[in-house]
Order: sequence, then structure tokens, then C-alpha cells
Amino acid sequence: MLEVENINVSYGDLNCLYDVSVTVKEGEIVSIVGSNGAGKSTLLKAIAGLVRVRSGSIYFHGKEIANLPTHEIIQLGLTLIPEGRKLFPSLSVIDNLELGAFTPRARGKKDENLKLVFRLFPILEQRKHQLARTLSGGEQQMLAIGRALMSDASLILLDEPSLGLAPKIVSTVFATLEELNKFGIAILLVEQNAKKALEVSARAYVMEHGKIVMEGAGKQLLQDNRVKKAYLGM
Amino acid sequence: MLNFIFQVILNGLLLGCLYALLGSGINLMFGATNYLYLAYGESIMIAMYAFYFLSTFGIDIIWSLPIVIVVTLLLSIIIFYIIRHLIRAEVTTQLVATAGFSMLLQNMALLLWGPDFRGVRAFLGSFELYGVSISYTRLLAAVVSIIILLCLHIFQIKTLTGKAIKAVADDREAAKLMGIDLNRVYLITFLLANILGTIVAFFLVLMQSIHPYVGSSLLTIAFMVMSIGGLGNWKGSILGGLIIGLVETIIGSITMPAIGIAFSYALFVIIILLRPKGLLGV
Repeated sequence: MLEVENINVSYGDLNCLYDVSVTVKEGEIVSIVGSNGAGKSTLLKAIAGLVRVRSGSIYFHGKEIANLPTHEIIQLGLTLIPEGRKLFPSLSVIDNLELGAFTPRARGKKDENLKLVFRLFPILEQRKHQLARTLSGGEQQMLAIGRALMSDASLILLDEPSLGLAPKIVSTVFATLEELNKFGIAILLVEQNAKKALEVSARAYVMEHGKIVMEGAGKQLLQDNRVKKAYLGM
Repeated sequence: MLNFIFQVILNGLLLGCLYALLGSGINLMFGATNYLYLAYGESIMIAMYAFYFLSTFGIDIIWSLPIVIVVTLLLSIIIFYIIRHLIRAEVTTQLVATAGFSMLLQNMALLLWGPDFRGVRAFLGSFELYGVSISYTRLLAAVVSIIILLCLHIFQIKTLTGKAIKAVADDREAAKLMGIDLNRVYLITFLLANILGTIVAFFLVLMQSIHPYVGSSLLTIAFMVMSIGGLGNWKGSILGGLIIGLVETIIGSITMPAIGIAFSYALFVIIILLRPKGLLGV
């Protein structure tokens, strides 16, 4: 459903991504692991149209989306949960969720998706009139995931969901991702916690200095000696 | 003496409500776009001239309001597309460019309409209550301002478009990821701010004279109101408007009008030194 073909991205004179190609098939969880500054977040931002792609193509459901305005890409059913969650702090939980369903595509399914979000995260229903800034870190991540679900996306790009969360909550977040996947939502995950990411992923890519250096099944990469040494601390 | 005190305080409060409306226009635009549009006062100045010229054709000022709003809308759309790319520019670029644009509009007004002070004669009269004289114009201005501010608040908390504007003010990148088209939000806030400015202009032509430089003092007041109350905060705009209106009127009545205005500037500086984010800012 998502084919990224040989894209190059640069910030000013600095090249960030070199000939990166990544594919995500329907209903798959794919992760990208790599150290800080390897270009993982930049790749997600490029797919979502937040940074310009200098060359190469990105196809989503067969449609070229490279360098389309972000709001047009979102309308096609792809969304990004950014690093640091980026909620709307001065709006309530329910308003944050409602804005998740801003696109015409999602508006019609708003009530249905809201029920799903509240079923997955009952705590959000209890706190629906609270301002987003008053939530705990774990609750904020749930709200960020909930807001993405409201967009009725078939592909969710997820940037560092475990960042700043307690280990127990990290496990909850990953369990949630697997549950979402059962609804047929594909997930492209960028994560520094490589072990967790590889465990839930069907396939994975390893990124270094803006290039894809390895790819394979999640379980297979978990066993790879180089991956073990560099990212799993073994 | 007591009557005089009540009279002055009432005049201050009524003027303050109109100032609150003036400040909230720029507050809405600045909150959502972070865009310092220094030609806002000139938009109001142009609207004031429009009211004046329509009145010279013998059109009743009430009927000229919808006409001027339509004219403002058309002009604002044209201006928006001229200055649109400035929204993403750096603050210094915005300042220089929109200050230049403001001067351009001032001098165009000077060239077209001359330096004369003009006024619209439409006295609605006044009535007396417990020895305090209340001008119908000022009362109407205050009531309409408060009603519009309330509507604006309800629009922002109840409608999806209103929430989208708040979302853009909170976090632009996240707003884009919701599928919000930022350019549309910029256009909507720009048009709303200019319509609010037109309504302010409607009441101002009944209260003060019109000249090419009237915009710069209005812009200063709008910025003071916004900054005293706190950016992006509608209650702050009301508080800021009332403070400026009261200080200007009270000090101006016991000394002279120019000193009242100087005092409100001084108070503004003190408040910003003590509370840089404004009284209700977070």
C-alpha cells in the first residue's frame, strides 16, 4: 500500500536521506530501527509531506504523494503520530479527538471511530472534558493514538511512541499497536527501543546515516549479530 | 462630584468594550498565524473612509454597514493573496514588510483623500440615568462589542472551524497532520479580523474624526489590548480593553485627553515589564 522509492531529502545543504526505499503492505507492521539522527523521523515526515522530497517517488495506494500538501495526504487515509505526540494542549481530550476526524473522509465515521477509541482507552472517556495538557505521559500517548484512529487511516506512521514513557506503559502501547493491527491498520513504526519494535514487526529496516543498510523479517533481525551488537546492547 | 466620577468610569467602560473588540481582531489573527500584520489599522482607516463617503451620498450609516463589510471582504481577499507568503517569513521580514505596506496605504489615503479631518454627522443623542449622561452611540458600541466577543468565543469552542483555528494556534505541524489546510485557516482568521475591524470602524466614525493616519494609533491600541490581556485569550482582550479604556478616559478627564493616552501607554509598559505574557497569559 505504501511504496517509497529511492527518495532523497536534504535540509539546506545537508543531505538527510539517500536513496531510501521502503514498502509497507496492507495490514503489516513494519519498523525502522537505527540510532539517533539516522534519518528515521525525517523519512516519516517526508512521507507525510512535512519535509520536501528532492527526488524519488512515494506511492500510497498507487497514487504518487511525494510533495503533496500534508492535508491532501492525510485525506487519503494516512496519518502520522509525531515524536513527542504533539497534542493540542489547550484543547480538551474530546476536542483533540474531534480534530482527528477533521477530514471529510473521516467526518462521516466520527461516531463509530470514537466508540472504538473509548473502547480501547476507557480512561480517555473518563477524562474527555479535561485539557490535553493535564494528562499523564501514558494517557497523552493514548490520546495521540486515539486521535490518529479518528482519522480513519489505513496506515499509521508512528514516531518514537515509547519516548519518555515508563517501561510498563511502553508494553501497553505496543500491545495496543498489535491490537490495532488486528483491525487491519498497517503501521510504519520508528523506534529507538529496537527490541520491542522488532518483536511486533513482520518486517523491519535498519537505517544508518540516512541509508537503509539492512532489511528483513523482524524475528530474523532480532537474531542478527550486527543488529544485536549495535541496537540491542547484547 | 460623585456624578462626575460615575460619568467618567462609565465612559471608560463603554470605550473599553470597543477597544476589547479592536484588540480581539488582531488577537485572533496573531494567535492562529503568528503573523504580525501591522497594516491592520489601515484596514480600519479605509473602512472609516468608506463609511464617510457613503454618508456623503446620503446613505444612512446603518445601511452602509453591510456595503462596507462586503467591500472589506473583497479588499481583504485581494490583500491576503498579495501578502500570503509573508506568513511563513521571519518575524523581522514580516515587521518590515507589513510596516511598509501600512505606510503605502496611509500615503495612498493621503494622496486620494487629502490630509483633512473628516467626520460623519449622525448624532443618536443621549439619555440621562441617575444624573449620568449616557450616549446612545457609545452604549450601542459597547453592547454590540460584547455580543460579538461572546459570539466569537462560542464560535471558537463549539464549531469545528473554530477548534481548527485554536489547534493551529497550539501547534501548526500537528494541525497539518489532522488534515487542516493552514492557508484556509490563515484566510479565515484574516477575514474575520478585518470584519471585526470594520465593525470597530463603524462605531469609530460616529465618535471621532477620520484622517489618513488614524490607523496607526488604532493599531497601537489593538496591540496594547492584546498584550495586556495575554495572546490568544479572549477574556484577556476584554480585560485589556477595559483597562486601556478606563485609564485613558479617567486620566484624560481630570487632566487632558492627550495625557490620558500617554498614561495608558505608560501603564502598558509597566504591565508588560511585570507580566511579559500579559495578565491572563499562560
